[in-house]
Amino acid sequence: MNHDFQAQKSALPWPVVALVAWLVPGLGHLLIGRRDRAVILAATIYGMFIAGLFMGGIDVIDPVGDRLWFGVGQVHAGALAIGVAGVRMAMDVKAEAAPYGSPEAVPEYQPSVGRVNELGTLYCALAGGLNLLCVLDVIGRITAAEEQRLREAPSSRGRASEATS
Amino acid sequence: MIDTLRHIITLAAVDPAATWRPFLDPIDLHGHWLWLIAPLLMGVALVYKTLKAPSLREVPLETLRLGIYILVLMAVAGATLWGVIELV
Repeated sequence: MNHDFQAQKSALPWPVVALVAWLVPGLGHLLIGRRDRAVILAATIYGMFIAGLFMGGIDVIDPVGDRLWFGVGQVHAGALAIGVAGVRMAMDVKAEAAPYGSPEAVPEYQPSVGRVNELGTLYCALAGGLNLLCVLDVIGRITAAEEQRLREAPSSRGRASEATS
Repeated sequence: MIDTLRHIITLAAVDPAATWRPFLDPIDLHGHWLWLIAPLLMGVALVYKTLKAPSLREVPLETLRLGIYILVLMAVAGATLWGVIELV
């Protein structure tokens, strides 16, 4: 199969589109007019992230204990990953603040272990990694369109000057 | 795969308030973890092919093909590593 790399124009500058695409999976492709693909990407990336969270529980998102998995993979799932990490950290802070031995000193979630934890972590990390791939794809398409426009601009000016002379 | 799905449905149906809270507690899928690799591979293949395919009509078949490639390559890599560990 031949893979295409179509340049796509965007009304917004690429850093803004990249940031939006990073925060909300699929939104970057929506902004450059690839609506159907945006829906598939959003559904798949959110689906993978939520599936990971569902099987491993909130314990699979651990920005303190699993910095590498969170920092390299999971955080790139965008606002949802940051929100879940915030909830998890709030639960940990609440448990740590409670007096030792009290029922509140135990976190509200159940720690996950073994294969379920590994797979849940992997699902969420791959969802983040795939969203990063989508962000890079959006940046590539917008910058390719910009380069194409710059290449065409001098030649069209040249043709215009030839016509007037 | 069907056993795994049945296990998930049973977990959700049996008094969830007392035993399992979704998204807070992990699911007890330790005996079925291998089946969870297939949807993961298909998700990766689907995103990749959605980004790269010239036409969306090609995506389902290409996704299936790439997913199977990854699965076969992972199985070969796993078997090779297992062989190295057993022989060395």
